[in-house]
Amino acid sequence: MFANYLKIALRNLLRHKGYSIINIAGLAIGMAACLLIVLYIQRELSFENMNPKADRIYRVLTIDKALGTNNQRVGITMPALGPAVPPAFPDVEASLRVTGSAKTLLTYGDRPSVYAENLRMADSNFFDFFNFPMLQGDPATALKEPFALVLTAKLARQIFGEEDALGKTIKTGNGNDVKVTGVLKDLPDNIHFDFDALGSIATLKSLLNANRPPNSTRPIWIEQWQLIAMPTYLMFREGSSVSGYDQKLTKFCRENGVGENFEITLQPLLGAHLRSKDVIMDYVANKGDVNNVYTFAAIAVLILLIAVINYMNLSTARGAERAKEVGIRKVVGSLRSQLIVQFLGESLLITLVALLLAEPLAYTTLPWLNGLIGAHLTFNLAHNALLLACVILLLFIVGIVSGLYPAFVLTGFKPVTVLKGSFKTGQKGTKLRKGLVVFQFALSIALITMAAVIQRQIYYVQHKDLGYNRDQVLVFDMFDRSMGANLATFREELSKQSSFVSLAEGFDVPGRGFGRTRVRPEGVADENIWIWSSMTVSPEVLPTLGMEIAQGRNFNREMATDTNGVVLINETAARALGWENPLSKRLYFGQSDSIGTQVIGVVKDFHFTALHQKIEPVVIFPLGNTPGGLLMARIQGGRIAEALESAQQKWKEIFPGHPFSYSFLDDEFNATYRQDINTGKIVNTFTILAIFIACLGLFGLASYSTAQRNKEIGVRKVMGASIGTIVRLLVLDFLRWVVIANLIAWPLALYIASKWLDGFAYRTTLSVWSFLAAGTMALFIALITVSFQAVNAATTNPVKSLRYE
Amino acid sequence: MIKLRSVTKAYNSGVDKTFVLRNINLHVKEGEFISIMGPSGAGKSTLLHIIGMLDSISDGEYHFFDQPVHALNEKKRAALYKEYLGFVFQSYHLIDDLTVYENLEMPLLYKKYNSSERKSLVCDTLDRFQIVGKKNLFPNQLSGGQQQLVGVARAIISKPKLLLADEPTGNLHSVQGEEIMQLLSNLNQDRTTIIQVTHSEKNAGYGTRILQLKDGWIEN
Repeated sequence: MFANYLKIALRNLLRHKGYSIINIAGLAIGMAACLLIVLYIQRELSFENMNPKADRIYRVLTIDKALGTNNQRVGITMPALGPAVPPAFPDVEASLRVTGSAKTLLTYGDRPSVYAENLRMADSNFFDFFNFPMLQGDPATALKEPFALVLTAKLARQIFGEEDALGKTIKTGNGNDVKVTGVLKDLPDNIHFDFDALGSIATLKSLLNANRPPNSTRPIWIEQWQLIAMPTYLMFREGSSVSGYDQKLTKFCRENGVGENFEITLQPLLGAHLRSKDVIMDYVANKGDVNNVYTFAAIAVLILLIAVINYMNLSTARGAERAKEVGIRKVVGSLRSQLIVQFLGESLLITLVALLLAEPLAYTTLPWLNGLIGAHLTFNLAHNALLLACVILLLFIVGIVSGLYPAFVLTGFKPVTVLKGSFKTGQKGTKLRKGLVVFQFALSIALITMAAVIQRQIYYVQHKDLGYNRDQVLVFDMFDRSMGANLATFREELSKQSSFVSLAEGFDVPGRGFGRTRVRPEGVADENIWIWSSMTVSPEVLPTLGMEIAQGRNFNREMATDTNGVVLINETAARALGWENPLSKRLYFGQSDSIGTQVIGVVKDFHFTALHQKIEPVVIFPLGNTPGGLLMARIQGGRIAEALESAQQKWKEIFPGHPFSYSFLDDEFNATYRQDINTGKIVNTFTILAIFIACLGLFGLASYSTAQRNKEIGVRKVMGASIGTIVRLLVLDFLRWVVIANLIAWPLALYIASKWLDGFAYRTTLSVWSFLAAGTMALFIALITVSFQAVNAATTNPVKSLRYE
Repeated sequence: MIKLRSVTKAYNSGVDKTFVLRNINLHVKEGEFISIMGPSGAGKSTLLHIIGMLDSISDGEYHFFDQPVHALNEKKRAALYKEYLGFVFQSYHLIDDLTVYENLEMPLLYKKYNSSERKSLVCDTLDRFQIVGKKNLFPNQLSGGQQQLVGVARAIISKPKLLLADEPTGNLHSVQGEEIMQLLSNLNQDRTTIIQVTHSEKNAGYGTRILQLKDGWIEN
């Protein structure tokens, strides 16, 4: 029996090559897209999965409720909080603090110096929280002592070559000797933070204590409650509940004198990758977005649905051809259920063939996806149980869903009617088929619109006037004190080069995120806590970054008084306080400040964070005589290579021990939107696939319905209809449905697109043109698809089509 | 074997009912060879389909070997049908995608024969109809007469008690037609009951009884 079904199915496939190709290609592309998306989602959901304690670990985030902030979650908290929590709350087993990362020069003996790109400090129990396998050293003690350093294998190899790293002493850029106490296996890429070197907090403590003024009563910053500075984790005991801990910890902070503007909120470690998009001052590397996971899952389902509809449409449209077989089988004794099994088996077979094609297709396109999302996904069914399960599930779900409708329609034929001869199923189910085509096109149009809106927003982001000019700006970071001391010399030397237009020192660059400071503006009651972002730069930053003064004046190097006691603010700050004339006003910083600082100018608003966030008030401090931490350099148009070459040469002279290192400001800017740009690219690609599959179906259906109308076309031609009239007749019939599809798609696209745009504080308008363009595009594609068939039919000699009737 | 009592078949066409068969009473004994004749639209095919259980009746009773067919559910009717009936069509109705051998085998697949039984039955039948040489050909590689030969072979392969033929020679030229009729006549002599619909007096002559149908009535 099975062999008989298989034979029929295969012979049918081969006899109707066109339909088979359309069905199989559609399903194969759909399933390949689906498999890629499964891999992507699996990766997004895999973050921290290797950590057996992940479900008990929480990130401590702070919400800053002060005036002047957007009340977002902040990725850091009070340094003193972490160590104080476990003794006070029995539910909490342990706490862990980590610092932000710093690029740090490391030198071993006579070997060339190497940068650790992300050196962090961590409490000694780091490896209790994160059990990254250690190749050498003891995780329990590696971070106990001051001046201990754990390296990843990759960095150890760069520093030591083939030499053994453990126990060796290396020098940091700041001149400290540190001992390598452990070498870690290279980190997986699905963890929420990244580091290549890990020092002990004990190091930091010892350095801070050494530099402490002898009679200071203030604790060193890593023991303070009054500021937020450190990424902190809590590990709860097994079986304990975290509910209510946001309030408990906030209350605990109040009891320790933390300002009213700070609230604590816990985030499960397992959500750190996907649910941190709104968190600012965050150290989470490679942030994902849970909405993208949902979006791509939806797209996978939509693409499959479009492919499945193709199958249903084409097989029911072809019903008449199979009807005779159904009739005969019924006459010789087949039950309807047996026929249903046969047709379901057939769709399973087609799905299987498509799946066998989908796998190599997914396999070969995977590097493209990897390139986009910066991951190392592999397509390996033997080692990926979930993927294997998905493949099997796809086979059965797609096979059965696409086969179910045809199976029931085809097997419902009465043998008497079928076998009598003049039987036409073409008309039967025509409405439903057209409805499904409308549905397919509505989905495609919604996707096109979505892709258009994303592209428009990305264009908007990249072309919006940010209030500063990010093009042709190089940033040189100073990685340690020895470099900082020579920054002025470096600036002097570069300023002699004609390829550099303007140079500014400072500590902050727009786009990297600013620090924040408490501000008491003149005339504001003490209970109104204002927290502003702050930027410390030399006067040249305005010309270098192309920022503009709205009121007052810039800092002036010639005026000795401008090194201290004066600040600039941005327009948002002036507006937030309702100051008509800010120039006469004073700002007070710190509790004991009674003199205050004068506002001498207002700079036009500029976007110092990504456009996802609203501009907050900013205060700009003059760098004064302290050496800056970085140099911003504007290059003359078209002389980038020349500028880089001379910079490298001067660098070698002035910082001989440090490998040349620089970044372009616009690259940093683009990196901020990498996730959005990638989302755009992925949506684009899958949109094209969806349209392609929908067109395959439309092509098949058009060719079928045209074939059905062959006789009509023949008669019309004999009666004198022109080719043009006939093409119009055939084409208009289909296009009408595409127009209806537009009407369904637009509200859907409007809703999804505005949801997506909600993620941006600054965004493009939803233009009517995006919708019209999507609709027109779909119409045009449908027109080409259908016209091909129509012209073919219309130019056929009528004698041919009428002869057999 | 077959008893039709006051059988009526009607379709609803708008407000009116269109009667295709009216008050048909018919007894068929085992071993008969009946020819149903009559002008186009007289209800010949409908009567054949009703006897063949492919169509239901609107009113009346239909007994097949004492089983009340009109009262049986789909499953029981199908079982009855599978065991006792074979069908031959005017346009042969072979499955285009199957070879002669596979077409013959197909009815057996639905009747719980195991593979060796199927094999021997198909081989016997190929032998008996002298079409062994054609067993691997597809229907469109055969002449009409040959196709109908396969059609008849397929109908009788599982040894039905009743063979129903709807103008079996309608698409054949006279020589081929005579061969098929001779074949049916031989089958009848081997105790297979046959009911055929035909337009041809000559073909009706092969049978033991003629049933004249006009406007849904049996004329005597």
